[in-house]
Amino acid sequence: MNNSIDYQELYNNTPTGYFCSLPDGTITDSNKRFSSLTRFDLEEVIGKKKFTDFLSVGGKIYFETVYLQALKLNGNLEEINFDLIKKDGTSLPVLINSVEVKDNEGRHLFTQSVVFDISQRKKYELELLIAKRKANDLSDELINANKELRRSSELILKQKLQLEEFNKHLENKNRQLSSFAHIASHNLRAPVSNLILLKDVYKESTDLEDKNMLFSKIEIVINLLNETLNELIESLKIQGNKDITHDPIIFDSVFDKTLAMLDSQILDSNAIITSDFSKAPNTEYPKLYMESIMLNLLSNSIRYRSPDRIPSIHFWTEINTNEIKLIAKDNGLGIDLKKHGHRLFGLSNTFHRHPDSKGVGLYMTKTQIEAIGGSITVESEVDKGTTFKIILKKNI
Amino acid sequence: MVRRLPIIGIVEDDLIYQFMLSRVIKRNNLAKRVITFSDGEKAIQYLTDNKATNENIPDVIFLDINMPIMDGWQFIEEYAILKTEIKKKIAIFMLSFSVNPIDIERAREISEISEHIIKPITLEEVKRIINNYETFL
Repeated sequence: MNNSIDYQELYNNTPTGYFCSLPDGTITDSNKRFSSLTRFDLEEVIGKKKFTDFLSVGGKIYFETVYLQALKLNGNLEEINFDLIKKDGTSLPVLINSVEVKDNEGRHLFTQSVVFDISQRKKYELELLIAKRKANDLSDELINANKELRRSSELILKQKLQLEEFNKHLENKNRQLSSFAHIASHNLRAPVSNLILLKDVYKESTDLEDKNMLFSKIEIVINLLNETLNELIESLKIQGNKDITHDPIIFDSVFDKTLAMLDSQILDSNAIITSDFSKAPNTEYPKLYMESIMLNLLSNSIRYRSPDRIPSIHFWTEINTNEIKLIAKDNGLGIDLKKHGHRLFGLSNTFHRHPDSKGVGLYMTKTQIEAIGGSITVESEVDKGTTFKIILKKNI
Repeated sequence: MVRRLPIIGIVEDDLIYQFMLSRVIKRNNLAKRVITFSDGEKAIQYLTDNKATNENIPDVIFLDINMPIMDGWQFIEEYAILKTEIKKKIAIFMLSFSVNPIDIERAREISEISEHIIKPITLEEVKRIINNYETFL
């Protein structure tokens, strides 16, 4: 017997619990491993306990309604999970495999079952579950962080756009200021220094007639200075007036009004004046500005007409995807843009020897157009004519 | 010794300034004659018409920068071409309100310009220039 396997030993100590039960559930035999898993003595189990005695109420119900039925149907069952209640009241997770043993006539004699302790596996499962929950939590946190980031990025983008717009506004203001500084330095310094010169000479002069002549010149300078100051104040008002109200404009009626205002000049010039606003018959624009723009453009075209041909002036509108253009074309004297282009829209810049050319109109026109967010450009050829193109404003 | 008085040209669109400068020169007996032009083109036209007649050509020109039709810079360009045909040397003094360093540098680089003077010009400066114009030639 020394070399043969001790089956009784193996039976009792194999790392698997085993028991045998009658059809009514009474345990008729069990190995030591089973009783030690449940912390009972072998004597307390064999012949005294049913398997259901080791189950909770829920376990019992599952055992009777599912386990027994399935076993009867299949003859065996594998890896069914139960929690056994140990002697000390704590529970032990196990898997059970069972097989029915029958006699030759198919009668159920007893059931043999093996019990595997799966508390380690359950622990791992629990750890996995916790890890999974943590991973889920982390993932939720990441999703939230991501959402937060996206929100911030949207905010930053919005602020960037606002900054860009603000910057554009500042650049525009800067340009206006620099142009204003230039105007102030030239258009105000010249008359003021003339006044000082005249005053000094006036004081030194002893001849009454000479004094009168000098004073008449002082008057001329004062009037000019006053006019220049008024124009500057007017332009500052326009530049500062960002929220000026927009009126409904019908180009035809503003143009008719302009024609009426320039009636005598038009008659004198024999100009042929035509218009076609059918492409964009109306818009929204400050009415005063539109009237002033049209008046300036039309009076310029008449004033700088060529003496060699019948003046022909045409106004029309065009519409693009997001802008309305107002265009004025004449066949007048034209301007050498290479020589004068950079000063064309400056204050008191005139390019023609003409008695009533003050050079204020185009500066004002440009100021008004830019205050509304538009732009003005010019094409011209000397002795051919001039075309002014005005983009009234974008995004209408 | 009696000094020969120069002929002075003034190219200036500001008629009041033109009048005052011309008056100061005349009242102080600084010039034999003062010829005035209200823009560069008129001055170039005059020089072209009189290029063969030395006694009509000014010795000194006071030239404004900012003028309509043809400004001071354009006048200098035209004059640079024309001057080979004029027997007489002309001292040109540029006048402007510009304290812009770009303008000042530009004037310094042009050999035809004797000096760039920031307006308003004083009587002392006018005297200094006219009495010594030959040293600028």
